[in-house]
Amino acid sequence: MLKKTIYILAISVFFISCEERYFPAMRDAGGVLMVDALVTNNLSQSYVRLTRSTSFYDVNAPAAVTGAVVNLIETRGNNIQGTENGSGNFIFTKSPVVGQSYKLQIRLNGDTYESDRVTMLPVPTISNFYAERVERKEYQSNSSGAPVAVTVTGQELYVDAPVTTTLANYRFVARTVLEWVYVVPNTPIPPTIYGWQSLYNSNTYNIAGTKQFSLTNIIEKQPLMLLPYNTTDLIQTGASVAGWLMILDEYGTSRISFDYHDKLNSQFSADGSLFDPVQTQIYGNITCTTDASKIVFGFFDLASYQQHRYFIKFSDINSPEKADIRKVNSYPAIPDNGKSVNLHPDWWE
Amino acid sequence: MNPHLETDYIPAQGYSYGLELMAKKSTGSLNGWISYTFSRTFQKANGQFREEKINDGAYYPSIYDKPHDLSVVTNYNISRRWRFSGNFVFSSGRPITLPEQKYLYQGNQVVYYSDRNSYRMPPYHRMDVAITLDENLRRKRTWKGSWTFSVYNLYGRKNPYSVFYRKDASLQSMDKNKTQYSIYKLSIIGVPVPSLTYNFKF
Repeated sequence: MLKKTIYILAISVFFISCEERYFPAMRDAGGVLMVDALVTNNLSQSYVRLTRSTSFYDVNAPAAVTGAVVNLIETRGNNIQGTENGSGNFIFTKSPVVGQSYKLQIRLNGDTYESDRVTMLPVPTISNFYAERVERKEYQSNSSGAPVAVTVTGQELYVDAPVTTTLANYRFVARTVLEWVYVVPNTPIPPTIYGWQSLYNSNTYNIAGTKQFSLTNIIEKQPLMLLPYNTTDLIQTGASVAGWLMILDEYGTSRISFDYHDKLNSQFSADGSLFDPVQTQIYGNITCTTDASKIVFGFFDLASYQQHRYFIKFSDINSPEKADIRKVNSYPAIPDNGKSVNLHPDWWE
Repeated sequence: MNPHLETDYIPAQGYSYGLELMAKKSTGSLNGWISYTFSRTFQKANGQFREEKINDGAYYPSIYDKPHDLSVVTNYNISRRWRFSGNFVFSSGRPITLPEQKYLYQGNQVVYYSDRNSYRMPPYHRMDVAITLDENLRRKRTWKGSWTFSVYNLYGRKNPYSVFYRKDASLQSMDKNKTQYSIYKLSIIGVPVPSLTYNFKF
């Protein structure tokens, strides 16, 4: 055993300090126009943000681009003009019409930037929403920042969505509001505290689409989020879980949008490894029509949108596949987290 | 198994040229050789579609492009039984692609890479030395042994094996606008490696 330990230590010596930060001299790039545009049938979701790119070593936030004229141009020539409501941020006062094609046009400093034409898709729907008990190994950072493997048991939420000739790709943004209740003990009239905490998806995009040449008519079992049984770290000590309110934003997107976000996911998941990572250059759908040599970053995403809400309660965590799900048909705004004493919020389920 | 492998390949063409030189001294107490190779290898992918174009269809250095490759090998007979040998190698770093710019898209930082292979890793160089003691030189002795003490990578050069980037945990902040990536290089055997060898023949 001692000999084996010595051999392992001797070999390990060769790998001491073998990874270090490296500062190559690079071209001072940056300043390229970046267009972050999402337009949906819901005006509150629609925006266009114009910024500039920064060089790799620059630690400052990207600069906003002001003074541009932004239009959404329909095939028939009707314009929906964007209104600047903050530095480089634009909103629209009219929604696009399903079935019509639009392109985004930006005029800035004598140049014109236009996107490809995109057709407004029909409002997306969900065929089925359900949960299944799962046990999964995850890596979480401990107090010193080192990753530690933990086994998480809970209910994984899934969704099925229909595939039609007009709509075959989706993107989901899931937020879950964990509702908890705490009765303060050892008081004559114990107050009840109603608290809530929001949980979000990971940093990658949750996209769903069919394989090329596929004949399927449904997207099945698209995972959304894992609701853990152990909520000790999420709620007040001594509190009990009242349930989970899932707020699911569903976007119906084009195939090009699916491919773009898929490439973004590839880039976000590249963590650096022993071998060189496969680089994925991200190209958007916007070009400069007045100067072909100018590159533009970003993407014009014309998507249909619908929000769904469900209330999930674990009836028995010791019994497999036991989650009661109820659809919620009211859509009030809910803060990220908070507490209320003796009176639960209006949206409380 | 990929039944349509041809759809994952990009047609390309390339060319190479170079020059090899060598000078060798075989006699005397001090002998050895010096060799130098200059070689360039370029390729281009200029397909019909944007996905089949790399660097807008212009020629760029291939991953095998190694402009300079120098080797110096020396042997010195200190005495009848003691010998010293050393070698020095130097070669140009491999071409690499680095992230040059970044931007924010829907709150996430996205990097934009430079032209393919427009940068190079640091050059590779290393010096190894060895000293050998012959046990005996008697012709009648059947068993002839020698001890060699050598040091590989004498000055502990951390020659990079790979260069990559990832999010730097020490530079993360709550503000995603300021999420910082860092570039890292990975070296293998970046320390001097001594060894003691006994050779024999009978």
